[in-house]
Amino acid sequence: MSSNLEAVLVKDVRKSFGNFEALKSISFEVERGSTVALLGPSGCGKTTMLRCIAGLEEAEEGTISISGRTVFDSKQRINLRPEQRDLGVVFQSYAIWPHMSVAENVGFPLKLRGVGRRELEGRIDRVLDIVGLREWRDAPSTRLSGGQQQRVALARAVIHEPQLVLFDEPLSNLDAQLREQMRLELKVLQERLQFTAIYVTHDQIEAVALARKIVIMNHGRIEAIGPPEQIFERPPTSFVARFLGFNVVEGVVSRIEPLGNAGTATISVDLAFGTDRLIRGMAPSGSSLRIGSRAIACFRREHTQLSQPEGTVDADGSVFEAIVNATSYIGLHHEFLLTVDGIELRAFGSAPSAHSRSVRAFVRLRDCFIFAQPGPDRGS
Amino acid sequence: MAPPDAVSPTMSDSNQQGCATVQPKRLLFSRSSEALLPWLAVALGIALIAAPLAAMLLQSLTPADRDGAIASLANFAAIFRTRGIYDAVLNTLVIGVAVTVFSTVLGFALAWIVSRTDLPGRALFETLNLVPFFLSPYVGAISWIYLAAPYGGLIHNSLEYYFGVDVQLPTIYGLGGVIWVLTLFYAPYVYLFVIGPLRRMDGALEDAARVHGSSFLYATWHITLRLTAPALMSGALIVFVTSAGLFDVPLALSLPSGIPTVPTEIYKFVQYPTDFGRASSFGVMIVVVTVVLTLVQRRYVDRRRFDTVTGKGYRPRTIRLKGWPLAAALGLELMYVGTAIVLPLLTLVLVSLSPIWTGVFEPTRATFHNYQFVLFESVLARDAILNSLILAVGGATISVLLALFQSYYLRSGGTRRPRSIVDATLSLPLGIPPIIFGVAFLIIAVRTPLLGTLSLILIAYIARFFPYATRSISAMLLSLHRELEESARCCGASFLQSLWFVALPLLKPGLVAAWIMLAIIFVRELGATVLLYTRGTETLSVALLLMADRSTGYVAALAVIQVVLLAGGFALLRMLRVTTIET
Repeated sequence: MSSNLEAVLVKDVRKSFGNFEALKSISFEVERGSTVALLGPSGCGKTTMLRCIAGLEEAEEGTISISGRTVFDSKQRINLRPEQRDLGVVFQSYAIWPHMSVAENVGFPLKLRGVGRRELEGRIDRVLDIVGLREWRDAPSTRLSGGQQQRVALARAVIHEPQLVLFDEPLSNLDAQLREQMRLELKVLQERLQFTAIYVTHDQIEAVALARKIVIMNHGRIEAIGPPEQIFERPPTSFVARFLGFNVVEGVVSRIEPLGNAGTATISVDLAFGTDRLIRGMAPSGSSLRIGSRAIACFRREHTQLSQPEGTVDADGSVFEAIVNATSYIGLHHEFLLTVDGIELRAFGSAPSAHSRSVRAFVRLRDCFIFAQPGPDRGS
Repeated sequence: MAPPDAVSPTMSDSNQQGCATVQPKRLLFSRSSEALLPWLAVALGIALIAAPLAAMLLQSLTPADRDGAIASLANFAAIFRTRGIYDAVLNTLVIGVAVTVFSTVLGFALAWIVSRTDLPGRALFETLNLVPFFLSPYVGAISWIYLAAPYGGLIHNSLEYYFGVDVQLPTIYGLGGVIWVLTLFYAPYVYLFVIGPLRRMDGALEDAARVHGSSFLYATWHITLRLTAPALMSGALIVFVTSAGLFDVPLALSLPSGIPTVPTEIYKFVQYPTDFGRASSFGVMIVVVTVVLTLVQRRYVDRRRFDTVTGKGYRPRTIRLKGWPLAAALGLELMYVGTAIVLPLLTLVLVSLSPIWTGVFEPTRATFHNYQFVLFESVLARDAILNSLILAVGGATISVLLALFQSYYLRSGGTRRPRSIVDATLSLPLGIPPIIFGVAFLIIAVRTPLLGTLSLILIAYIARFFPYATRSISAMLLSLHRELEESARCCGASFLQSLWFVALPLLKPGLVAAWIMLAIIFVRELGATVLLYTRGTETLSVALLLMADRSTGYVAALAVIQVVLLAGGFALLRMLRVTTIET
């Protein structure tokens, strides 16, 4: 039923709160020793999913198994309590117990498992070494800074070597600099301890940095699932593209033709937008795009260039006049805020085009993805 | 819906594969305690409230002459034919309204003085203003009889004895006396409610009004008072319900002059010849009124209580007092502390040291005989002290445990709608006069072996007073971040383990405070006890009542002992507040 590779198997899980459907049939799996990130905007159901896996929330339908053990099955009426699931959880609020010392916090899971005193002390020391808090061992936990509390929470989540470690937006309460540092530390720890983890976040940088597989959720559904590279190179839906910060242009399909050699699965699509402007992108040939149907073009800001690269011809992409509204230096690059007929776009570039408010923006065809827009078609 | 702990037998099969890990060791029993204990506590709480009220309702519908109809409204009709019943209702309303108005004004003034002015010694006054809250109004009434009884009160006789002047005070016996004593004792209720909002209020709000040209009084009236209005309303409502339902002070001060109130009428119905029919139908009517009032309160007042000004950054402007405002503020504080604490307690001590009370203390004849009697010789007094201690400790412990588990249900048990109904039901006793619980439990007791036992009184106490603990503990539990307990569960702790290792230590200051508050209430309770005690199950307050036939000195000595117990509780509470850890 489940191979040894799958540490976590989530199948057809549904959950609603009153009339609100928080999870609409979610399925995914996590391979042993790897990390999966649940990524999405707030309210997308990612935290609810995590809480269902932890047993803090009871799903209505579906099955969840951890290391081959069924922890939830609506049909068989199995629902193990959180303490029976052998987990480590790092909460958004850290949930460090203020009445215990650092060592008491960290050693709590072992104490519950009846680990003897000598072994307990030794393992506390070892894990505190790993997170770099050895000298804080006997300090009251209330004296710790945010980042230190985060490390205590992490140490507490892994000290008993659980089957699965869950992270619920663990870095969202930290300031930007500390967040980056903790992200790197987490990565190091993950490689060192090789735990299986599910990581909930709304921050795509965290998801990409830490996970081997990303599950993007929206309104209780999975929008995309796959390795980060794949999703970022070719977002499968317009929601994903928007969520990942792509430029988005809405328009009407004006021309469709096969791309490249006959038989390839991609088509080239022209989208009319604004006042007589065109953007050319590509879509899978099986898509529901028709001439005259509404569609969306998505392209990354890094791929929005302010000068046409040499060696390309107009047919390789789209060129349009844009107005530079703002320029900001973000280190190494400049970010430009452009408008094209009132539509805002962002672009990255290395040289500020001094004084000229009007520029030619260029997007290559293969960097631009066209998606059918849900909703009624309108002729023009 | 499937209970969260439903586990089918097949589970053990699928369990086999992944069981290489150590199963968490169980320190306490815990199969389904998570769902069961809160549910049990709620069921028990509802039973404690519903059983006596149902018994009372049944009794009220049972005709006195058992021939003919099985159920009738005859008892209700009889109420309206009872001589003096309208006077009793009117007197109760007069007491309720007058005490509410006076203690609201007094409580607000005291709170404003200590929180917003630079009155010298305001830290001390802040504590002193609260003392009457913890003392017994009944003992206050007794003290004020010693102080101001016509032809024999300490004030009159001392003035005559030492200064040769004959000053006639308005009589303490009557509605005026009841209102006077209750105002002194209930002003701290309002004070407690408004001092928080007053302290947290942003001084800039008042400054803004002043800057824009309003006078000080105008700003106080339109800004300060408006902002504290929800808290003031809550306090006033509690004062009204409590003072109107109070039995002991009217018993001491107005009944001797033949002035009845609703609680004393109920008391009379239950005295020989006992008329349970009338007592219970009167009780049912009062409960109905209470339920309506409670619903109104929940709808309009309660919801606003928590939306006081929040945040730490505010520093209320302190008003500098000098000249006559200083004199007025200081005078009010001194008057209050003098009449509510110093004079009554001093009088009690003086009376307790006098062999025979003549209205004047004669130091040369002072004796500890009264103490010797109540502490070592009187069986009644010894039993009473012991019983009161048992009831206080047992009642407070059981109530707090009940409240703790109920709070878990109120936080997350069941679904939302039943939860709010449970919440309303569990708060119901708060508005019902204790003497009505006395009647209801007496009706139950005469048909069960509980009659005449201390357990009966204990159950009645818990039934009437546990909601105080439920309200304060559930509010505390709500403020405890849920992830603190959830992370314990995910670490492998069962519900009870997480309760023991995480929730209890963090809730401890609040739990202890609720425990002490209930113990204090139980030590001074009289309204319900007076109907339920028999020989051997007397309590301190009952002994005070009974000793009045024997000697004033004994009463005073026993009252001093009660005051010491109550003051000890208050001192503990104050100490606790200092050591409370902010989490």
